Amino acid sequence: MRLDDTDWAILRELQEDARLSYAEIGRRVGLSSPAVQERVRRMEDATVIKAYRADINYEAVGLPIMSLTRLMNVQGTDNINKVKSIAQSIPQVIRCYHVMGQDEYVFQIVATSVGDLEDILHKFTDYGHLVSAIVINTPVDHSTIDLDTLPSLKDKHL
Amino acid sequence: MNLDTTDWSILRELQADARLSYAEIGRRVGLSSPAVQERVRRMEDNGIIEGYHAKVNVQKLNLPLMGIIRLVSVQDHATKEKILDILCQLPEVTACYQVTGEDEFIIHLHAQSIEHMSQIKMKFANLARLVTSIVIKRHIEHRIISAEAFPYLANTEDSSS
Repeated sequence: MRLDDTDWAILRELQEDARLSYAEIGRRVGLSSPAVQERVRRMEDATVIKAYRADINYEAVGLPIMSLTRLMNVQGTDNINKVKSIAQSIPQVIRCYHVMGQDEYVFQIVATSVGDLEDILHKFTDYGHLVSAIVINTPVDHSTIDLDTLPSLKDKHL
Repeated sequence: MNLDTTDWSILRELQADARLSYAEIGRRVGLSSPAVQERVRRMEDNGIIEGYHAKVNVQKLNLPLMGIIRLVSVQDHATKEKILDILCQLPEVTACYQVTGEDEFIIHLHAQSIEHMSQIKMKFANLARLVTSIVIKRHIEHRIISAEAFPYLANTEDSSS
């Protein structure tokens, strides 16, 4: 699917506020409400837009500890697959990436306390070497992917 | 702010689909549309809900490559500030965490190619030692925090306030 400048403008608005009405988006990008709706539907169907999410404040709901944990030296495909299923079964693991490089997996974990975090990490200790860091601060989060700041996205680079 | 089980149900619905109408959420959780709206507004005002965002498919947007880069052994405060300044201005950097331990920052970076990624890294490579991992597969992203998955969060303070 090729996106034109108007599609990009709509994408920007929805990345910044996913609850905007079609009418309001239309006002901002210069289209009628049905025209916006049609373009949004097209981007959803092409899975350019994957989902709309409310982001919650983990600390405010009782999960003040956030950790970025790396798992390395995982031996064998069986163990690699097992780690994936364990991660999927733990609701505190909010992100899990299988990576290439020194590490095998990178997890983002939220927890009620350091003790809680330790209990979660314990489930992985048999599978490799864990290195855990606690997040102090998040200076950048959920940046909008936008043609204005990334003009090169228009050219096909592949 | 204490969240009751209805608040948690609303939170679950909005985390799964932030464009649901108040009426539809109301149908699912058993409330009127104005009652849902009132609860949502309260959770927004109290900073429980931070925002609503469309999640885009970066692969389809010509950014097929995701890197997780650790910035290690940052020497002094001034360098730290300088790095932060640079990172905050790079549109390819979608997350930056400041962490405890040997690493100073861990960032998520999206790029069009390996060459593009290394060009971006050059902008701060002289300020820290960089360790890069390339993401092969995103197994979990945007996990929903619900009272079902976290029963102890819903039960801690059940008294109304």
